[in-house]
Amino acid sequence: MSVPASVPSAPRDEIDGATLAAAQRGERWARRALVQTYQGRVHALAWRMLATAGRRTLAEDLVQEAFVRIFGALPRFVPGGVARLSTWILTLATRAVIDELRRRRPPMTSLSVVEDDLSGGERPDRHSEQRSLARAIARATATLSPEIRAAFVLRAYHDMELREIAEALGVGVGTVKSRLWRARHALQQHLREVR
Amino acid sequence: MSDRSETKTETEQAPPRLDAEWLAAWSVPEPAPDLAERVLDHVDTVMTMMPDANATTPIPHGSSVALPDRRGLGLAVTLVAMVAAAALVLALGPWWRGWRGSSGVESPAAAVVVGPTPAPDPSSEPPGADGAPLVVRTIPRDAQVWIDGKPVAGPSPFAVSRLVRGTHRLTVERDGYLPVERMIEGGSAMEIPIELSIREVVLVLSVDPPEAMVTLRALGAQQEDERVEIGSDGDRHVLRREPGVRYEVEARAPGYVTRRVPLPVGGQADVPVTLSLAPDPEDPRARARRSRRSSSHRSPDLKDPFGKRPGKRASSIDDLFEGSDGSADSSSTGSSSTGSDILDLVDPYASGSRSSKKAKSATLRVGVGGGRGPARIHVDGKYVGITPLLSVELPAGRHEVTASWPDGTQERRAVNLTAGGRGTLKFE
Repeated sequence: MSVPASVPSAPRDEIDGATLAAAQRGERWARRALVQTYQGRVHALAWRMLATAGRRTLAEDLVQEAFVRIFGALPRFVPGGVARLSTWILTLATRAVIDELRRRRPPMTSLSVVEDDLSGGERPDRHSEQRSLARAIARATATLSPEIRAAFVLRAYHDMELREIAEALGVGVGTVKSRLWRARHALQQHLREVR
Repeated sequence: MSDRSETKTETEQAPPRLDAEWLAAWSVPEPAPDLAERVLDHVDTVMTMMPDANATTPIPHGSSVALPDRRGLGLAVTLVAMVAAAALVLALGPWWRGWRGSSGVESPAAAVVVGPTPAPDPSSEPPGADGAPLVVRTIPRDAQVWIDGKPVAGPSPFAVSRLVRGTHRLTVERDGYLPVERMIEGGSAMEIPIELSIREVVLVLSVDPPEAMVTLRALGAQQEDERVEIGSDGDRHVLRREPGVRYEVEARAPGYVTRRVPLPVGGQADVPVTLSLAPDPEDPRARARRSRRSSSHRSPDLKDPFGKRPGKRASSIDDLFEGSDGSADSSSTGSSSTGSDILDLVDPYASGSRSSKKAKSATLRVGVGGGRGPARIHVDGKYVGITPLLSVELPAGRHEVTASWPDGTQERRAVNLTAGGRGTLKFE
């Protein structure tokens, strides 16, 4: 299968059925548990899909926006269906980010600002090769359309199946495959610049 | 782009393989600790102001797959927008009739729509009419908007009000951010985007030469300039900015030309301050330093961090996709930690030309072997990234390195770093 390998960077845990049911009834403790369980994945998705400087604040805004949609639709989520709750949540979050990317053009930023943003504020390896790789991936991702970005990020960083990505984006599996191919091609080009 | 053409392109050429560890280099910073609470507050606010959001959001799903339909979601957003617009008109009506005869902004709250509801279109209002709509969109959200010293009810976005002709003072405030004040002209429809800057930032100093002392200058509009020394290369300084104050950083070192630049503050909490001083041609110490350098070794070219390691260059793009076991490069200087709990690093630069400041730190590479996949690395409890980590700069001394995998397993190693040393720690 010629698809990118996924990066298992986030735990796959889901909230239990009782907590989900309580969240669907609107109980605040359960909604807090749901946010705490999935906010990291939603934030990572938004942060990578934005792929530009200044995204730290915007990503958190989008997390808020995504959870508004999530809680708005949560009463109609069917537990035990084919879709996991995490997949369902990432689907709504993806659409929120895509809508934002379509709605406005991200601000143009200088390369140095992109580098600073990539540092994450905590990392001491400021001038490492890894950071160059990260910058290359970010730059490559920034050149992609929101739909291709979504396919790449969901597959590479959130371990979603092609069928799940296809349903999330409302396209066929073949289209998802070709979008992934385009994403890899862009990554290849930018890797050449790094090395 | 059609699906057919995309599929055809895919079948013409086998796509390259992407390496999981390579992808893992693009790590994501941890979200803010209070994000969950802010999310819940925001959701509550939106649900309170739009109680029908649940009922009017037709997000259908199949009987087996509980995934929402995208077109249904778009329709829902449109419906919610229409309901919100109707509510806006109803709310503005009485207030608007009472306000037209007044001479300024009297009512603190015209109407506020919070959350994902689209902002009203200012162009729909009659041009030039008094009381034209004002939309203030702020980043981040939940900022308080003031007009002529009176609060506009509710947080942004979108704070919507109406302004009569004339000059008005617009103020936007949010805890933890610098307030913004602008003078605006009322009488015509407008949308004002405002991006707030974080108030407290950390200046991360990177100075060449490392012994150069960095001074922070605060240039206030009404107060005397303040100067404070904030450290040298590698130091961090917390700065709580004040509104209306400009900041400059100045680097000074004996034998070098003093350099002063405005503080480059953006939206991020960490502000890198990078200053490179040029040798003073008039200073005899600079001439002596140049002659010593030319006779010993070539100084690193800061513009090309890979230029000094030609052996590390990939011969082709395919090389970058090869290998997936996460191991760090075994050819690096220093000893492996395999078989020992504490990694002692040799000091290959002890007699070299590194400055005393640089010699206080060491460089560590961290990798994972045995096909275990990328791990999150903490050093002394602080998150530093996902393996492979190729250049973690740490102070000399003993450190505890913890690797965590997605399945919950953890391993800890202690390393003892020698000043100026460089080595590899590999979790087998």
